[in-house]
Amino acid sequence: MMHRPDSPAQRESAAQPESAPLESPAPLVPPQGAPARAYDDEVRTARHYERGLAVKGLIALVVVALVIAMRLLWF
Amino acid sequence: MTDLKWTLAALVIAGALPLVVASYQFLLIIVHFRRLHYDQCAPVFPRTAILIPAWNEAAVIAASVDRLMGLEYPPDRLRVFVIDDASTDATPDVARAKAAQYPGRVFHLRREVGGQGKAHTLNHGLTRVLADDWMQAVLIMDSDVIYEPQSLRLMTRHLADPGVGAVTAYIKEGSRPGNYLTRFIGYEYITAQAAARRSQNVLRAVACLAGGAQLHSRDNIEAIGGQIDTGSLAEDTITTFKTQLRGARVVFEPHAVVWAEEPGAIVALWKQRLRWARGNVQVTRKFRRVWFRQQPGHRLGGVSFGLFWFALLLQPVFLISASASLIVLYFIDHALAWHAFHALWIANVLTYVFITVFALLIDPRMGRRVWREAVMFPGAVSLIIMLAAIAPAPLRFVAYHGLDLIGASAVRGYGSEIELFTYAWLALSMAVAYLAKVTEGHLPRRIGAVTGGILVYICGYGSLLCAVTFAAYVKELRHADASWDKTEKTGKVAISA
Repeated sequence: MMHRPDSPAQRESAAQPESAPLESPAPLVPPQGAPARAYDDEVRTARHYERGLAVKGLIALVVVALVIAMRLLWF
Repeated sequence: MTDLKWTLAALVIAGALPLVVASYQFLLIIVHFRRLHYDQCAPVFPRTAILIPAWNEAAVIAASVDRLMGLEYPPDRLRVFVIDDASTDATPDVARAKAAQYPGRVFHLRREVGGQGKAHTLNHGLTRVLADDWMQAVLIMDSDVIYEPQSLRLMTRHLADPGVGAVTAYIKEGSRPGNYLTRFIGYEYITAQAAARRSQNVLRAVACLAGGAQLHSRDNIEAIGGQIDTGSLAEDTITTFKTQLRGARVVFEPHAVVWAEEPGAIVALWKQRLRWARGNVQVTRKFRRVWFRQQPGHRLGGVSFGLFWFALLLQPVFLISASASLIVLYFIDHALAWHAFHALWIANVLTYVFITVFALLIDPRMGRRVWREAVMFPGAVSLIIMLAAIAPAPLRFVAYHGLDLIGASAVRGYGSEIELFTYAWLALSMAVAYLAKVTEGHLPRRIGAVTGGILVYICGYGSLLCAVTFAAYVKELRHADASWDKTEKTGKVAISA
């Protein structure tokens, strides 16, 4: 059984016996760890950070383009 | 003769292949946000057994256990097993004291005959936690690493997907106060962990679950035999491969951060990395039927993953063959040698700029601490050669006028020798790295540390790693003793603000 505070996908699920396998539907247990909202926020923040990395990658490519331009124009 | 010339020129340019492949790896990070696993995640808290192999870890084990007790995780779902590998220091006493302090949550497992290595120690713990059905997931860690409080729960959320067999975290260098070498390692871990693992997430083929942070579902541990491989020096990588070969997914969670103490001396780093590099050679042999063979159920046979693996493993070969080819070309076709050399170093400059800028942006917090080592990663000599390749005019100006200014105009008379030296540098840099290790190991402590450090800044940290890989080839060819050689830990690791 997985101990799962009420996530968006599981809020309506019911309690399960303790011996249920790992992949079985998770029980609704009172939130003891991160509440669902905090979990959603964390995932949103992580997604935002990863999207930001795409922009940072493009910035790094622009720097490379600048180096090439400097090499071609001035040296 | 013409064929030979062009073959040599191709070998020279191939010297840039490891960096070009590394750049491709970094490019994949740009699409990482489209391959995130969060849609299959949920905030789950499986009953987790944490296994800490401990051999004479009295200096660090108490603090490690205390920190684990402070994880953001339901206390009744977490058990810590200190697997004392016949320690001869105070480790057993400390572990017993912690078991008494946290009854039912911390357990001391004692091996009376130890010293066989981490894998044997872990297997002792795995046998114990698999003996009953309490454990749903197992976290394998090192005794000195520090988990940020949220890290474990950030990892376990991926186990909500039954297709995931194992999860790993972002290991960061956390030695404080640290020194130049730990800062080099800090930067290396941005590239090798935060960056490389993200690109491996994109490929859905992960090379290695970090030894200090590998979370497995019970299903996965049982499916791979309930034991860790004891026949190699790369038990972490073999576990990772076995997991994926059985069709389960391995996920890297970049936001779960684990801080580790890394060696602050070249000799200790050499010892650690030699073990890792020899392990990688062994893994390459063991899974020889996996490389570049697409098969259903896993992605380890993909072309990109194979390129990543072999570009790193064969880096010393590429560098030595590039240098040797340049020197031969110098004597048979001087103009072609110059053009090939120029092309090689232009490629090196562009990939270096891309990787360094992107890496520092991937983890800006760590980047602020290690940016000098990031810049110096290729070493002072390589930086000058790169400058000469990308901006030859200013460098020529300095060479002609600067030398006069400092009264060293006689150096201009050694143009051919300097040219040959730069051609040989890729291979020579590894020899200088080896010299750094020998110097540090043989000179008096302080002088050795300073001289070794200066040599590392001259040859580059990258060359030091290449030299270790080359030493691993030699050791494996000689079938040298492959017994476990522990890296000493002192407990100087801390979470950085």
